[in-house]
Amino acid sequence: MKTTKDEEFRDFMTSRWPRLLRTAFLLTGGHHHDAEDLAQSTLARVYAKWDHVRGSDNIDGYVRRIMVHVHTDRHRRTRIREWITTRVPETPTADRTARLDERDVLMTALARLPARQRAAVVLCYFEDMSQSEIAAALGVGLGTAKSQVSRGLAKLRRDGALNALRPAADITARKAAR
Amino acid sequence: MNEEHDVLRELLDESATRVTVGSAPVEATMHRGRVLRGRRRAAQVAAAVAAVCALGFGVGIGLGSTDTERGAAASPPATPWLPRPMPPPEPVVVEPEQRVDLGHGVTVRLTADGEYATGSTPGSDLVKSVMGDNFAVGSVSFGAFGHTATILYVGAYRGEPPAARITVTVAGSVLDAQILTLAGDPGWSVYYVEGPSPQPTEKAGSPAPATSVDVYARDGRRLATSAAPPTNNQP
Repeated sequence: MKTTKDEEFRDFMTSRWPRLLRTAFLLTGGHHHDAEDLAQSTLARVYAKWDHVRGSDNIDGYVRRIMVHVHTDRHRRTRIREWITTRVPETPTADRTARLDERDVLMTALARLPARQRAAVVLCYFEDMSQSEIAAALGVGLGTAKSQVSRGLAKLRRDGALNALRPAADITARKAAR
Repeated sequence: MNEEHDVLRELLDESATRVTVGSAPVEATMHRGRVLRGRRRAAQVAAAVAAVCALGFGVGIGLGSTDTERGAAASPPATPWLPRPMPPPEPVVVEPEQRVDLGHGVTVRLTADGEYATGSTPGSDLVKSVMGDNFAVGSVSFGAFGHTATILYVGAYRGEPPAARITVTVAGSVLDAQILTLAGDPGWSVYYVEGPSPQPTEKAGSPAPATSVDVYARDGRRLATSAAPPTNNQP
């Protein structure tokens, strides 16, 4: 039987699915299928407690918090890992632009971060969440949240991911100057 | 520094948009949500009953069982996944929605819509679309389930010609996976095999486990390959 609450959830999920899938993609270190699993598992939990979630004054923040918890739980409890490749033998590789290379370097470096640091970086720089919102989503104190973001950035720098951003920064500067 | 942050934002945004977003799996998600809700309510009832029992019979339980016995009752010892006899290498044709036991209560089912679902409890399946936008033709996915030294490897292949043999290479062993497919020429198949854990004591920052999957055609031609990317998903 269709209920009003179900309709509300259906509308909510349909409207948020693209953004949540993209956040999940970054949280999982760029694994498409893992991202779909994460987004779906998160929204299943959201639906299970929809009465509570819909009453929240910050539904999207609440859902991000659930997503981070689901993500860390999955690896703590079941150690499910999945990745997908499109590498087909003897298929010529298409030329890549410098921009694509930069994204690849960044995604590889992001995947190497511990899950919590990766989550902190993604919530800060992709979701544009405040430090206190990140702390709430990670279930840690403000100082720990700041430290996770800072350490994540430092590791990205050590991994060369942020060095690779220099040319991109130049491009952005040139764009702005035009 | 701020410029660095701005570009990081920009690149994360661009990277995230590489995901092809299909339609939201609303019905499957709501079904899983209902199962979760039911479990939570059952757990609440069980907890309430246990609290009442503890009030009434706590002394008796304390005298009647040792710590070891109580621990065993609350949490049965984990049994390692022992390797089963090697499945036959010939692909098995299954019916749509037919649940196939992969061992230790984990099942998989293939749907006529080009999806497969793995799970240990009906209604709590993880549904994955193979024929959707995020699974390129000529690619193979690779997942691992397990808590112990023995891991269940499960994944899917999409492409033509159909897979005749799929191998998982882990810890120096080449394992022949069992292939499951639907009747006709669906253009995809699922595989599974039990094997050793690639690196049970993986530490943060350690190299990726040496695990790969190879898909072969009937004539022995390799159709696709997958290797674990360097990642560290430890929380």
